[in-house]
Amino acid sequence: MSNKVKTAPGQGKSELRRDVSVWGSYMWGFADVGADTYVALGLVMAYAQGATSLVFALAGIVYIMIGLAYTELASAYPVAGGGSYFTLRGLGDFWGFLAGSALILDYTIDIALFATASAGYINFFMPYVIGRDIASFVTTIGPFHNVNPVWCIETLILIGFLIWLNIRGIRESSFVNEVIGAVVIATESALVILAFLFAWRPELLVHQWNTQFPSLHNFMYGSSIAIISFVGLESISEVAQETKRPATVIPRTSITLIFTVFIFAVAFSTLGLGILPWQDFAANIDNPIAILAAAIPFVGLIAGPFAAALGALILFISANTGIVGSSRLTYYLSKFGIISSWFDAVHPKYKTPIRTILVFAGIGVIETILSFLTPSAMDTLANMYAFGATLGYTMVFIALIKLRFSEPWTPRPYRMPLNIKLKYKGRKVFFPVLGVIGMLGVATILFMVVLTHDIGRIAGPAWILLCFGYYAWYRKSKKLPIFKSIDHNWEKQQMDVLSSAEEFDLLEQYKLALAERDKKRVELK
Amino acid sequence: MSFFRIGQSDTPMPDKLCRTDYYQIFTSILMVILGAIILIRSLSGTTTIMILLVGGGFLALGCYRLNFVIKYFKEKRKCNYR
Repeated sequence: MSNKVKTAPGQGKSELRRDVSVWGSYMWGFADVGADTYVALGLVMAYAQGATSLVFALAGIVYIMIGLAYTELASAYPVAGGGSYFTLRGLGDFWGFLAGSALILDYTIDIALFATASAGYINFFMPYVIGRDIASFVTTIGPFHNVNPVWCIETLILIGFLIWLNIRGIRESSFVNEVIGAVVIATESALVILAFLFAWRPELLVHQWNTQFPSLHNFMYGSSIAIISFVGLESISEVAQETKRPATVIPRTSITLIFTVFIFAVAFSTLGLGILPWQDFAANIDNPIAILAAAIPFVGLIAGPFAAALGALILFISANTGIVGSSRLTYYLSKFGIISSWFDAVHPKYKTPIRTILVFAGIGVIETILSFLTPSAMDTLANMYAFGATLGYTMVFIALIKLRFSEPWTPRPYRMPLNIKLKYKGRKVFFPVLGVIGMLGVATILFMVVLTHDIGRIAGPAWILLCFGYYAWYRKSKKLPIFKSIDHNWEKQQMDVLSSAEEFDLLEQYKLALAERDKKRVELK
Repeated sequence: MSFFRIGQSDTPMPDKLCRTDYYQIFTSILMVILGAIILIRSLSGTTTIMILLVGGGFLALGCYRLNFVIKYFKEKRKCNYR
């Protein structure tokens, strides 16, 4: 998949190419979601302690519901914009902006957090290369304690490299992305199998479960951090507009991805507690999977460094999805009058969205520097990540429920399970019971984030307010309503999207459903 | 009420298995083996609900996926007879 935009001849309008295959769509999601466990395992262990696997399973159940909601929406509305588009379409411009700003926060944090974590895995090799551990560089700068300037500089170099890569166009890196993703899946599978066979001690897990169960506050904090293990499904929706036959491909890739990631997250946490004390992971939050791999007998000597190298790579790729995702999201937001079309400008030579890359990667750089001034950079970034994700997902669930009522005629190649058939204003509607349960689940996690995350509850809303200031200024300058929506011709747009996606069967279904609706309206008059 | 009809996707049954399908069959078999090993190892000593869920989850998911493989081969055999 490419970050480049294609200009239709004679139209002067930018459109995204449909050249993403099943494997490409799956790997795009996996590069984002699959890497999350590499970051989250140590952070969650530090708080959830003996209950880590339970915390991952609970967050995972909420994530499965989020995933199913995204699968339904992305296959029904295969356009760039993801959660923000679904919210805008279901609830209106203002709510679309709100979801968009939460998701942009996540993309910028994605750049900062995953680049930091990637550098963390690189640091696994530091004692072997220079004979010093990364922790030995910790210092105090003025009022800021526990600052690690070396790790911060490493992270900034990685972000700088990503910016260069994206400005040059990422077609080459997409291929690398897919190959590395495949190697990571194979490695993770091998690690899980070998570790369960040779290193896992159920009695150690039972001991930690029985004697080191966390306090309620730590359990809630751990649960809200655990949700970051599952953030990234947005990526599949973001590339939906570039996916070939999205109605067929997206349900297949999304559902496979949801279960793959869930299995790995729960398996790694169960393995972790059955191999090492949770304190070992908490002390190595920068490279927990490498610590786990190194503890496997027979293969640990090789598996540890190999897992560290792969972790560094997959996290680097995941940081890249933050840059690409923010480009796609802003492309869509400007198209619908939420932000200025200034962001749409492309590089004259490389045809890449240079302004978006520089602005959002620049925000990622600022977030990185600020987070390194706090006692734990990874913890601070994870706080913010959890806030943005849970706010965005809550909005998506509300939009899903609303769209079932307001657009029942839109063909849904995949529908979330567990529905109640209702009659609403004379038409048949499927009420999504699982959608409501998912909304309550993710709203509960958002509540836990606000309740337990000291930084997230202040910095998160502050970001939203900052974005609102820009949104209000922009809409006012264009004489557009701030809280009301401008007219969007959704029906024409839906037909154009289905037509460009070559989903002709769905297009026919949609036209028939609209004709039926219009006929009923005439009869009622 | 439609209860857990995950198969509401319109994905058609493929005519021929590709490399990804063979990979998925392989991982499904591994899941069954791994699930069984986890359950046997934990049940022979002490256990917790999470271990049972993980072991049972691997076993159930592996069986669920293999069920589709078996169905596919049955369908294919039927088509060949016709």
